[in-house]
Amino acid sequence: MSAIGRILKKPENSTFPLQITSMIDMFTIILVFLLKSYSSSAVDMTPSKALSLPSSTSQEMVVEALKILVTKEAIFVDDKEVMKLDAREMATKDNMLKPLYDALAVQAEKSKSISQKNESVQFDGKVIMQADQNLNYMFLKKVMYTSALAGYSDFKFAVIAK
Amino acid sequence: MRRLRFRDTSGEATFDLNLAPMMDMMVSIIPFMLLSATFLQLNLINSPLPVPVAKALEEDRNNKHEVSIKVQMTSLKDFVLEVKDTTGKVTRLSVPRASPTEFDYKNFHKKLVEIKQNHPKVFRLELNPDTQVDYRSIVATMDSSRSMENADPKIMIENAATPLLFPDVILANVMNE
Repeated sequence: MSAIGRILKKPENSTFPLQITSMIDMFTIILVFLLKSYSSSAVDMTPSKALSLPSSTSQEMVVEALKILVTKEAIFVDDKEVMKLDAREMATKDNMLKPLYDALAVQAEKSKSISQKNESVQFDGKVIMQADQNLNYMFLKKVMYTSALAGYSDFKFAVIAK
Repeated sequence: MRRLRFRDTSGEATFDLNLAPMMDMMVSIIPFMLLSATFLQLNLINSPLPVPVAKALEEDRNNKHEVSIKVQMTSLKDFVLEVKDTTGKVTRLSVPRASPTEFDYKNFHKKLVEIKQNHPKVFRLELNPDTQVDYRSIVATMDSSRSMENADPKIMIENAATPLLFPDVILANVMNE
């Protein structure tokens, strides 16, 4: 074909239908697998980035309870910061941590009022403590002492399974 | 009379299914599920204890404790064990540290097995860590005292070997001022 003929030639159709059937097949398989492995448990516990939990051989399953998170910087109750961890303040003899006590007392009051209205819910004083593995017992003792005074005396330590 | 009309079958019977909306849906759902999926599933292994062991454990939990086993974890990384038996006699044992930074969990476990041999029906242990002991060491101590290991001698309760050592570990000094 001459050069003029090539120029005058009508361009070929550059669009084409995309074959996505095989991709749909793949997506369907992935979706079915994910739906099967999806966990819809009521107990939601995500280890915080701010702390490193100790590892343990314990095989107890996680239960639903109030969560206290003790990092090197602060104490959280149900993901809300209630107080900063000041080493000087913590070194005092007093085991009672007032801001923590207030936050836990509010939670205990709330749980007790729910249990009064709904008989299937019982206030059992369970608390899950997620604490940094490098923290001294002094800090944990104060947290536990305060929790016990607020009515939460059944402690469960969150650990990473070995 | 109206003429019967037949459907024209000569036309195209196949058509392209529009998969684009389905693709849209898949592309939205799959990232969401991948983000929220838990690939690490936590399960429980149900393994009931032999009847005599379970009975002894229940009795130990319900009864007043005549035998008490106290463990002190010192800030120097030593264990000090104190066993009070039914006659009121107190025996003290100590497990020195493995290194300046580490408790000797192996020897501590051995000592606990020895105590268990003398008091097989006791399952409770009172732990008293010093304030300077780190949380990791407390958890490791609880792990060492929870159950028997394969290399340990068998401890029989009536006619059944107990897999448990001291599963009820109590932090006894929490409420101490």
